[in-house]
Amino acid sequence: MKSHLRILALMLAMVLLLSACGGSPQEGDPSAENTGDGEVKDTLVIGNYAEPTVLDPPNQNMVPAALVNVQIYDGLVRQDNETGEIVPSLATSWEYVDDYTIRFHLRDDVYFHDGSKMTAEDVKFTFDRGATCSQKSMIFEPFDPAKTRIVDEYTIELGTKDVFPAALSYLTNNGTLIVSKSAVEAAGSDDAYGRQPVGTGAYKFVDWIAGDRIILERNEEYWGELPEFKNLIIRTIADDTTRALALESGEVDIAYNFAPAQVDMLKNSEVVDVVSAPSYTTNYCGLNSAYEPLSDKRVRQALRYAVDMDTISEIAFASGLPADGPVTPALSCYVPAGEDQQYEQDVEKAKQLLAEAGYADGFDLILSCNESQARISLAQMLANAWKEIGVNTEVRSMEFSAQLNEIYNGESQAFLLGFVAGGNDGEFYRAMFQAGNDGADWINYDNPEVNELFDLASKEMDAELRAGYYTELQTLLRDEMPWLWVRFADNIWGISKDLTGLDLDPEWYSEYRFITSK
Amino acid sequence: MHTEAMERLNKKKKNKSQDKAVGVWAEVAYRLSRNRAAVFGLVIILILVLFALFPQAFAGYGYDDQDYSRIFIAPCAEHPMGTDDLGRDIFSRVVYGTRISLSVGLISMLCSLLLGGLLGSLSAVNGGVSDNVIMRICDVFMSIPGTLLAISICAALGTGMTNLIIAITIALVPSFSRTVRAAILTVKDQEYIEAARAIGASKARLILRHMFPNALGPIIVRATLDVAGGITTAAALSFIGLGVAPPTPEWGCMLTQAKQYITSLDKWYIVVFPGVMIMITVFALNLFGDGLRDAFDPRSKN
Repeated sequence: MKSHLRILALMLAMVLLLSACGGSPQEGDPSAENTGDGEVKDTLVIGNYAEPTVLDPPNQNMVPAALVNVQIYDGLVRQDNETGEIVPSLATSWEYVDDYTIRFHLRDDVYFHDGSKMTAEDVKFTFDRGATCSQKSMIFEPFDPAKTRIVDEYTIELGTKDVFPAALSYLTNNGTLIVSKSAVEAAGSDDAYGRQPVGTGAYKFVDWIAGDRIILERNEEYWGELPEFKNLIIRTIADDTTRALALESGEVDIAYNFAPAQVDMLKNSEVVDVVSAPSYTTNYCGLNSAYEPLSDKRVRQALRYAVDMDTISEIAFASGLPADGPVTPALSCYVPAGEDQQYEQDVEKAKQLLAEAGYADGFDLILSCNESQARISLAQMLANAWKEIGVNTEVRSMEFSAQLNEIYNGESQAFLLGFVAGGNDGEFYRAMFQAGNDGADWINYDNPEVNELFDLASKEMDAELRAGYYTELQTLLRDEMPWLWVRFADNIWGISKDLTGLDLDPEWYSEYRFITSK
Repeated sequence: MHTEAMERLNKKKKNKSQDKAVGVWAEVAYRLSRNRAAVFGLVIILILVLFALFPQAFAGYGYDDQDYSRIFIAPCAEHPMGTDDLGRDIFSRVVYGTRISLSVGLISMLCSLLLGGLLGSLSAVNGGVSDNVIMRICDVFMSIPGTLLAISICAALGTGMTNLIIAITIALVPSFSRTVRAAILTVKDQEYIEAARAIGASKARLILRHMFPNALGPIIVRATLDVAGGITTAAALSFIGLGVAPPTPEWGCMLTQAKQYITSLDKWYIVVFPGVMIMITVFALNLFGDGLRDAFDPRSKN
C-alpha cells in the first residue's frame, strides 16, 4: 500500500515536471493575459535575480536593488539610452558657474510620495548624506559638500573638490537619486528608511514581502508622463532556469540576466521576445603582478597570444562581442584597437615571449572564478590553451563572496571577473588601473604613465584633449595588458511579446514606466 | 582485495569434498557466489575497477581534450556518449572519472576504517570511561547529518581532492566506530578470547589477532556500503561546487556543468551519462554489499 502511494506521488511529480517544461502559450495562465472578460491588464511583473539589500540609493551597490530604485526615485539628470545624451530630469537645466561649480535649476512641480514638495533642500540633503555612505563613496567622492549652495528654493549649486569634467556622468549614477529629507529623518535610521523608500518617481513603494516580491503602485501625482501599468511587481527568482521558465509561462512579463543555455531556450519561445543591447560590462581575466611571472608584460601578452579568445569567449558567453580592450564600445571614449594590437592566436609567438621573459619552461598558475557556468567554462578553456605553452593552470571555482574576498585582498593570481562602468565616462576606469585605487590594488598594478594619464584626463575640461588622453590610455593598456580582456557583454532581457517600450539600459537599470502594451 | 581472496577460497572450496568442515570465509564466499544479484554487482565493480586502472585502454580521448569545432555532438560511433559544451568526449571523461570516484570512495572508506576501527575497538575493549567518552563524541558527530558535516568541512578546508577525502572520512568515522564497537562487543566475552587473555596475550594482540578477525563480517559489509556512500557524497559535494574543481572529470562535477542544459532536450546526453554512471556504481556496490550481508548472516544459513 505504502509503496503504491510512493509510486503514485512519483508519477504525479513527473507529470508536474513535464507540464512545467512544455507550457505552450495557449495553455498559459490566462490571468497573465487578461483578467476576466475584457478587463485590461494593469499589472507588470518583473523577474529580478536576487533580493535587494535596501531600497536606499547611496546605501546599496547591487543591480537588483538599484533596478527597483530607478522606478521609485528620480535623479537630477538622467541618461537617454537611445541617444546616449544626458537629459533633464528633476533639474530642468544647468550651467557651469566656474570649472568647479554647476548650477541646477529644479522643477517646481514635483512632490515626493509622502506628499512633501521636492526642493533644493532635499537635493542638498541627498548629497550631504551620500558623502557619508560607504557603498557609493566612489560616486560622491569628487563632490564637495562644503561647496554645495542653495541659491533659492528651486536652484542649487553643486561644487566639486577639483576640476571634474565627468561630474554630469556621475550624476546619472543611481547612487545620486534624490531622496526625501523629511522621510529619511522621519524613518529614524538608514536601515528603516531602506525598507520604506520615498522618492519622486513614477512608481511608489507599497509593500515588500521579503524573499518574494516588492510591490509598487503608479504615482498618480507624477510630474512626467504617467505609466500605462497601474501596478509594478518585482519578484525575486534567484534560479536562472526558474526565472526563464516563469517568463515562458507568463508568470512574469520581463526578466533579465540569463545563462546562455536559457537564452537559447527563450529564443525558441512563442511568447517571449529576447532583446539585447550593448552594456558597460567587460568580462576580463585579472592578472596580479604580485605573482612574480605575471609582473612581466611579455608573460601577460604571451597568455593572450596563446588563446583564440574570439572562439572561446563566444562559447562561454554566447552573446556580446570579443573584447579588444578594457573600455566597452558602449562608452563614448572607446576607440577600436589598431592593426598592431589585435592579438590573434599565435602559440609560437606566445612561447617565444615566455622564453624572452625567462619562463621557457612555463610556470604554475591558479585561476579563480565564481560559480557562474560561463566563467567556469571559460576558465577551463583558458587553462587548456595555456597548458600548450607550458603554463600549468589550476582552475578554482569558488563561491562568489569568497572569490571577491580573495581578490580584494590582492591574493588571487589570476581571476575571472566582470567590470561594469558606473556611467558613460572613461573616469570610471581610473579605479581599476591607477595605482592606489581599489581595482589597481587587486592586481598590484602600478604604471607611472598610466597613473599620469588618468590624472590629466580627470581634470581636462577640453573635451577633445580629454578624448585624446583616453585614446592614449587605451593604446597603452592594450600593450601593457594588466587584464586579459575577454568579452564585451550584452545585456539580455526577455520580454513578453505583448509588450514594448523596454528601456535598454547598459547597466540593466531600465525604467519600466516606458513599457506599453502592443 | 577481499573479493579476490574470496574468489580463491571459493574455488578451493569447490575442489574440496562437500562433507569436509569448511571455514567461515569459504562458507561466506560460497553463499555469495550463489547470490546472482551480488555476483552481478561484483562484475560491474570489476569492470569499473578496470576503467579506473587502465582508462587509456578504454577512452578514445584525453579527459580534457577540447575541440571547439566538435561541440554538442549527439552519441554516435565515434563519441558513444556524445561531446559536451567544450567539445570533449563524454565517454572518455566518464571513464577517467571512474578513477576519481572509486579512489575517493575507497580511500575515504579505508581511512575511516582505520580511524573508526581504532576508536571502536578501543572503546569496546576498554569499556568504562573511555568507552563513554568516545561514544559520546561520536554521538555529537552523528547528530549532524553526514552530508551536511562533509559540506561544512569542505567549506572550511577549501576545494580539492584531498580535502574531499578528509571531509568524507570525518563524516564516516563516527558511525564506523559504532559498527566496529558493536561487532567487537559480540566476540569480546567468547571463551577463546578469555583463553588468549589467560595465557597473557597483550591488548593489542587480543584486538588484532583475535577480536578483529572474528568481528570482521559486519565491518566488511559496512565498508562496502560506505564506499557507495562516499561516492555519492563526493558527487554531491562536487555538484554544489565544494568538491574537485573543473576540468577534473568527477561525475558530480560533470553534472553541475551539465545542469544548465537540463531544459534543452536535444542535449540530454550531457546530463544523463554522468548521472547514470553514479547510479550504476552505487547500485553495484549496494548489490554486492547486500549480498555480503546476507552471506555473513548466520540466520540465513541453511
